[in-house]
Amino acid sequence: MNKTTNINLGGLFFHIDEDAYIKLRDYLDAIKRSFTDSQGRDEIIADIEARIAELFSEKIQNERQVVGMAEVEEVITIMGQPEDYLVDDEIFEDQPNQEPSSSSSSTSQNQKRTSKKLFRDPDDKYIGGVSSGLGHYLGVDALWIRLLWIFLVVAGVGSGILIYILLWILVPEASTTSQKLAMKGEPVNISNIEKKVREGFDEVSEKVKNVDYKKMGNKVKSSSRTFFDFLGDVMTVLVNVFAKFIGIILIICAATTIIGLFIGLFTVGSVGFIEGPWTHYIEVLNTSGVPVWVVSLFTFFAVGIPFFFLFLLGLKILVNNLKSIGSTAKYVLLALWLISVIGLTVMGIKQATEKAFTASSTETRQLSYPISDTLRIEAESYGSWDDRYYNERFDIVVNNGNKKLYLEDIKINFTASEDSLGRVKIHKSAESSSYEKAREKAAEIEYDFSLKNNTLYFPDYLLTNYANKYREQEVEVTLSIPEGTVIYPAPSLRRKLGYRNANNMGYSSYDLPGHYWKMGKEELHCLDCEEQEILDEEKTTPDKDERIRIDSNGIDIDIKDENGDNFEMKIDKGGIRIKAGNKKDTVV
Amino acid sequence: MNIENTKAQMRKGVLEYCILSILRDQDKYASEILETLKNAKMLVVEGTIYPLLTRLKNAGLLNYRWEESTSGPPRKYYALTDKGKLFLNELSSTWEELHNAVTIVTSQKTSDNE
Repeated sequence: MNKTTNINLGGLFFHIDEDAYIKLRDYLDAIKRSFTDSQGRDEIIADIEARIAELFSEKIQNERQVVGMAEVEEVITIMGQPEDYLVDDEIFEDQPNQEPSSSSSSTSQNQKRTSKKLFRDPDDKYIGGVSSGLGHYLGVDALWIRLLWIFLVVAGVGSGILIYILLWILVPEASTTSQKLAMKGEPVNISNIEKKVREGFDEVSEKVKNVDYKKMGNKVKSSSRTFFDFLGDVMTVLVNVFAKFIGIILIICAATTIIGLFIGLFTVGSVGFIEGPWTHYIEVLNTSGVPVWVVSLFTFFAVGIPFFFLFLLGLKILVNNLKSIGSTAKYVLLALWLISVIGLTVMGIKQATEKAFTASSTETRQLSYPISDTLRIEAESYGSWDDRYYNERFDIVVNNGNKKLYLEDIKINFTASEDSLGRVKIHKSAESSSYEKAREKAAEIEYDFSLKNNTLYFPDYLLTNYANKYREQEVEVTLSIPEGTVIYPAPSLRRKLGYRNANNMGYSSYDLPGHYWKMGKEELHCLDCEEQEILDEEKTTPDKDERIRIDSNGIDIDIKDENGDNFEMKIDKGGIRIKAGNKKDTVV
Repeated sequence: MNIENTKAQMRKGVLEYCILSILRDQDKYASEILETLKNAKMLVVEGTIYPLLTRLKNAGLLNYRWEESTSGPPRKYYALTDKGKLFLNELSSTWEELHNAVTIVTSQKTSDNE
């Protein structure tokens, strides 16, 4: 007893035994494969199917009869083995010049249509067979590709290695004979495969079956091409071209980003291993204590992995038979990405908490100097360093091999002393993750002043150990002087004075230096400020119609009312002049 | 050197010429062409002819039309195109020359041997 199947062969209906059906199907598949790349395959297959149907119907007397194994074998004998269909091709392709024009043109078309696929070549490899595979694909000797790799590795700071590894992972190895043929651009047909098999490859038949199996099956249909088929083809080509274009852009963008990240990873990640002026900067800002290379590695993954997937997408658009990197690899990458993002967040929080607490350390020292004399105050910049690296917010200075941070966050204020003693209060502050730590860091700020010949020298910078890192270290100096003391802030102090310097002139701190000031009960009184300066300020906002001016030159009044009447009065060295309306009086 | 290969190649070389000749006077469908070729022992298996017919059709030497059949599905009737007729004439003269040349060469050889 045999199970039967119904088939439609060339438009005719047949009952066929299951085993006979499998045999017939395999036979037709083999023929289909032998025409994989030749022109008019669908049509040829349709003709052959029609002929087989004709042969079957000759052998079958009535509709109820079943096509069996014997009939199928008989038909195969008549039609010939798949190889028999190929003899033509071999003649035409091996000796195209001996053939008339018609076949040579179709041969060249055949060659054009032979689509190569990108595989790695396991038979000719140094590392992964990527170069030889690319060589086959591009039709170049693998040697040139290998030289190009060496050039890329040398010139591209190792980026060539990364690309190579990517291709190694992504491009499948040509393990079956049909893949090897596709790799070299030879049409996958029975005789070519046989040739390969004779060269020493086994177990072909099973794998050959996989080649384009479904694709061929779907394509066997009516051979007539309608206008809409043609239109569809044109659209497909256009869409393909557009897709490839996008693919190329994706690949270029993603690859550049990844290569850039890679270079960045190596340069920034080497902080701590390689010394350079710029490495200080990163090290000093990194207060969280997490090694810089960890941060850069996390950044590399957090940014690089999404771009890697973009790269994959681009490759997938360009290369049809791209091997999937596998779900395991995808999950590993996803996990790595998540870890990196979480890691970066944690480190970011840690870095932020380093600024959570501000604490200070204060010391007050008494000044001993003859109060009666004028106290001169100077800002002192000291600049004899073995080495100094300038940065935006801080500098790094080196003396005798000791690295120190150099900051200029100094503020100097003047206040009135409550008693008859002069004092200097130095208030140092810093930020850290806890109050204690912050106070510790504040105490480690090096700042001192000196008093020589009635002159106070305040450095315009503070120093702290390099290891303390940048924690917004600041120094606020408060100079308390007894009432009646005269001070002279030198112009060098200009940028170092704090905002809280009350004075009778309403001067901003910036304008204090360069004048003699006497400490009053609460504020400084200017001894040599010219009143003109105040008046100058008033002059800057003159009223067009009205003027009342009282200064060292005398009194000048000029008023205009709504009716247009004028009143002018001037009192100066020349006497008093009054002009009201049209009248004019002068008193000498 | 495989004798079977050489024989097959000799046959295939003139197969196109034969097919075109069969269609010279009358349009025929694949099975009829096969019949003639098989009777003349030009063909061992039928499969060979289909790629060849398609090739000739794609080259513009043949065209076909569908014709209803009483005993089955519609049949493809092949006919020579004008280009095909020119092509056939060319092949005919080439065959004549070749035939003569081969005859001369082979008979010369036998006479030499004698």
